[in-house]
Amino acid sequence: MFSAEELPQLIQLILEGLWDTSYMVSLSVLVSHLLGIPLGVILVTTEKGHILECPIVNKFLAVIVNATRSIPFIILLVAIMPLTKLLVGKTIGPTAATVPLVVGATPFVARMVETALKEVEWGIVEAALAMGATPWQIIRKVLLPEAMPSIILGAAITTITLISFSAMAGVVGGGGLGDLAVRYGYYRYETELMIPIVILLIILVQVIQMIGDYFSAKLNKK
Amino acid sequence: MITLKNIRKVFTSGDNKITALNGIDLDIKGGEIFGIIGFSGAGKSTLVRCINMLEKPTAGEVIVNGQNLTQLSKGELRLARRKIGMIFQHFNLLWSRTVFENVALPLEINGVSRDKIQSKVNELLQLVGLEDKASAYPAQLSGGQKQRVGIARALANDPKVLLCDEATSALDPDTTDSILKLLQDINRKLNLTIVVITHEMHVIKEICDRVAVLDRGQVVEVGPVIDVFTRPQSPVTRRFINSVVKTDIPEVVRNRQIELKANGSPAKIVRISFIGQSAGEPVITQLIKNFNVTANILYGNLDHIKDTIYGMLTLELTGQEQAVNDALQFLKGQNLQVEVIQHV
Repeated sequence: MFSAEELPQLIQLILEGLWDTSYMVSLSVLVSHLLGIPLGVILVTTEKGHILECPIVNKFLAVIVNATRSIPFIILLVAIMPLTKLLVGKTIGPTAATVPLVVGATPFVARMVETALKEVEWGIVEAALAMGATPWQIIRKVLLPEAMPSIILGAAITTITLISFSAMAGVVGGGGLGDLAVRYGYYRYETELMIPIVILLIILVQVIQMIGDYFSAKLNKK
Repeated sequence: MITLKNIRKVFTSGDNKITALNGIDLDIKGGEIFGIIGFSGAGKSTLVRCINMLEKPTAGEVIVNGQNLTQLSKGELRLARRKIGMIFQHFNLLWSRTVFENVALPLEINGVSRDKIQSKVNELLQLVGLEDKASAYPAQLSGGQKQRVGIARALANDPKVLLCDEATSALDPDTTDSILKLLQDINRKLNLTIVVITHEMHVIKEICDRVAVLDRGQVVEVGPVIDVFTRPQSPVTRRFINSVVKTDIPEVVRNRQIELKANGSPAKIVRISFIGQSAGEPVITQLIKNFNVTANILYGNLDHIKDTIYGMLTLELTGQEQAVNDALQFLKGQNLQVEVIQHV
């Protein structure tokens, strides 16, 4: 059991974990979307009959995306350590953990974006083609705005998935709430600390889902 | 304005080859409303998509406004398309944009300045009667209003040609007529060439100057609507005309004919078509006064094709054979379209 004197220290620990998780997750959500959205757009538009039809690029990207998605995250985490070292100069800590998180999440985002873009009715793209729009104009003015409500819902799912992935980042000293819960609750059987952390995680996930739902609904004019 | 030369379109999927268009030749004049009618699968949607090259023809030439579209580069084709408006059966508006922003889209694409977009869009919304809906989203509009937005959007870059792909097929009859009226107004006001694709003879009859009948990828009949209506040449055309003007002889009348023939006093069933001013003359009265025949009116109909009055009367003539023949001779001399329906 924890004594009263230990309490401020525990709160300190949880707050640090919350900060690390927020930092890791938001950074990796941001970067994985910066990479994943263009990738998803290319996956859709290079398909047969689409505005930038190019089967070679399409097949190549699909294989890469599938391959990355098939690797279990825990293996990815360890396997790309050399890349992490190259990019951030170290392999320990929250910043280092974002590298595998981004690598794991980017293909996931790409598929989410692909699905969202495919929901846009082809007739709308055809109308833009009939207006004489360039492929870039179609992507920027038609495909992305029309798919935005779905893309936002996908981003909420990605964020939640990344929170659970970030717990595994503890293996490489990533820190964060999940790591805290595993270390205290799982390795040391200190449920007193684990329970508040799990509750905190539940609240965090709920809030993210609510924010995603809110903005998606706000943008959805259909 | 639009010339199609020997257009062929073959779709290949695996080993299957489907010929959607098999040698289409058409000449559409500037300022006319040209209808293309056909049953589903006739190739009419493919044909209209060949006019702005959304479908690339397998062979043949598409010449619009003096430009051979089949020989243009991608960039040149995009510029050419900005002068060809298109509206669709399902409107294809952007859900995420307001009415104003939807109409602004082709102008944005064409690199028009913000100020000009503002005034042009307002002008277009006024033309289609939707000034008060500028900030509404498509989901808040009725089908007819959505098609009006589609029309405003199609006219944004002052096109020379407007292509209508089943533009009224998803609308109820009243809304269809209001959209047709709008198209006719635009045609007159802007001297715009309009190509209308439809499976509804009603649409052709209301607004088209000329019509081409499409069947299994080929043009089976083409000409002024009034001519095609009154002198249909192909069975497909007859079927379309039947959909708006009843020309079939009812079973009861047919049986009566057989009976009369058996009794030795055959009747002739005659279909008379009136066009234009001859519709106003008292032909039937003269017929009965001057000839010793009885004329039994089986079916009559007075209608209009665009701005021309068009009437049709199906008569049963009985009497002495000589008298009936004389009566027929008289009718044929009256500048009428007379057709004896021989079916017994």
